[in-house]
Amino acid sequence: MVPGVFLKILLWFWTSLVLVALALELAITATTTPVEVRVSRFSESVLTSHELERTTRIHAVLLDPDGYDVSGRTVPPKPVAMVAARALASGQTEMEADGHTAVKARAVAVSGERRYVLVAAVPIGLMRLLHDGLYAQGLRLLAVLLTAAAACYGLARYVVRPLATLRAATRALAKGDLSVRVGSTMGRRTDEFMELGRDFDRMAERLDALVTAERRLLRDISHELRSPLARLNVALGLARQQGSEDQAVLDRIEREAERLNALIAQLLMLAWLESGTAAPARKPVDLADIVREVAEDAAFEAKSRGREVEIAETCDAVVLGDPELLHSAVENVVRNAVRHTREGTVVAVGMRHDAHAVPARIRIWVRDHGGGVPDAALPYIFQPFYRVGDARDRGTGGVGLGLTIVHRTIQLHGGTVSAVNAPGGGLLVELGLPG
Amino acid sequence: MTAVRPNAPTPMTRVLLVDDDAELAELVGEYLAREGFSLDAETDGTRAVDRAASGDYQLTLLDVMLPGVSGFDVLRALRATSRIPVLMLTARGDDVDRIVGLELGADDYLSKPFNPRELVARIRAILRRTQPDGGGPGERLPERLSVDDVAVEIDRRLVRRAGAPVELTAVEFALLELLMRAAGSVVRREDLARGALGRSLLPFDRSIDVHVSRVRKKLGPRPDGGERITTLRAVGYLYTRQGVPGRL
Repeated sequence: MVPGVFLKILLWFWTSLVLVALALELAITATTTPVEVRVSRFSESVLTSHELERTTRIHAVLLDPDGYDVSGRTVPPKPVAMVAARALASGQTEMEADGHTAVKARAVAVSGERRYVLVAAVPIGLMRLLHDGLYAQGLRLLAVLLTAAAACYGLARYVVRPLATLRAATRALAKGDLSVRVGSTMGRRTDEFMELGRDFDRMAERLDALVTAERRLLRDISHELRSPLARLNVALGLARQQGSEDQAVLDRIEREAERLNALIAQLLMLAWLESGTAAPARKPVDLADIVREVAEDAAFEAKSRGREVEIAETCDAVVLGDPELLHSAVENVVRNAVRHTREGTVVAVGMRHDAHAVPARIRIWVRDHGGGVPDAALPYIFQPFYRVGDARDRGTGGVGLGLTIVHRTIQLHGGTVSAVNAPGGGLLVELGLPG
Repeated sequence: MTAVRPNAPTPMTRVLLVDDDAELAELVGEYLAREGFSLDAETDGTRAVDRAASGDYQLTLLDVMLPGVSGFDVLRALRATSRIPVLMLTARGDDVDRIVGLELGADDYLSKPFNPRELVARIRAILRRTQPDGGGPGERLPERLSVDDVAVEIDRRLVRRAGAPVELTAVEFALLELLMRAAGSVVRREDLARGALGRSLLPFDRSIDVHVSRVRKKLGPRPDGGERITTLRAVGYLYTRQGVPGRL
């Protein structure tokens, strides 16, 4: 899981909580300033024991019976004087408190009849906190941070968990697992995430249905188109068996039936390659083997038509891919070249490591000595049923999908296909494969 | 003695075609009749199992794409009770179907649409192995092959391992015979295909490998635990003898 949203939510909430806590403390401090000022004024005026105040944060002062501060003969603030008077009268400890400060007073007898009053101002409540030491304050801050962090962690997880589930499901779907659903893993939520999950499930269901329908359609087409062809082939056999006089016509019918069959096979192949569900195998494939086999087979057939196929250069190269698909791609290109090369000429096939390419590439090239293709038409020769011109294609026997299938196959293997007119005439087709 | 045309085995060999295409069945029937076979057609997969196993037929042609029951289910059910040779009809280019069919015990496959000449050739190739040789009876002694604890009676098409019979299909038997005759040396895949299937291998044709692996499974390891049939990648197979290293 990418920690992005999770971390953002966590930090965002945590920081805000901490800021709120700090602001609250600052605000309280600010609003209590008058009391503070009052206390400090009080203490300044009666400073009798700095030591006591510094260590205990208690302002203490001794008043004489007349209500004056013994140290400076000053009159203390009115609330202090009132408590002092009460203590003097009752002879007991008296106390007065507002929200922030408690004032305690107690009469004490010093040297005979003169009764003095000891008054102490003690900070209470939140004010007391400010007067605590750094250690205590740090501990409190830490408690705030940790509590907030825990709460925010929970919140962020709660928000992000369904996203992570959805993401895993989307990835599985993209990899081709159309049976993935998130409904049961979302818990008993009733929020937008739940809705999103339900929408995802609906989408996956629809995709699943579409792909299944397409596969079934392809299978049905394959079956339905081939059934009449199968009957045609047998009927043709019957005609031959019964000794029809015109074998040449039967040959022609048979050839056309075979072409039709090849075309259906290629159409289905292309439909499969284009469907997006085609995942070629990733086995180690020895390209040199494939090139050699294809060249040998093609040479055998080309010979009967007065043409040759030879391997001009070869190298060791193993790529990851589908051996059958790659074999048929190379075969398609070589056969195409054999069809178009002039009688008495040679089709050259070669493969080599591309020295300059990063990452490494292997190039398989096929060059014929035919009429080539007009430059303007070169970009289109890999399109389905594209015909360069009557002159090139009449009677050459192709059905017009071979190069398109080559293109898609090589693309599925992460490679490239190109065609150029070779210097000196003829077409040069190159297949580049990552290797 | 009446002259027997080589193309017309007598009595008529009966073949069962399991396919939902009645028109095709009619045409194939007509074609095969002229080649000396009598063809019956069956469109229902469940009934097909009973008919094929009935013993009335010498060979079954089975289409993989049947409506309702799959051809594979038919084959599986059939192989539970019968060793009748089965030639699968598959869609062209569907390699998975082929491999699955062979693994379930089909003898060979032919892709549809097929050339009827090829169909007849395949049928003959399979029958040649299942039916006793044309030579008259009593002319020679029954031939036996044996390596380690496996004994084969060629004429009676019997395989025994340590005395217990082992059930092999026609192709499997033919493969075992070829390998055992050459025990100790390598037989090329191509030769196995010609000898056992009566045809040469197509590119990426795994028929032989699937059949050999079934033979291996049925025979199990040698008494000393070694592999009876070893694979030489991209070359062929070797039937080993206990304690004797093979030759290439």
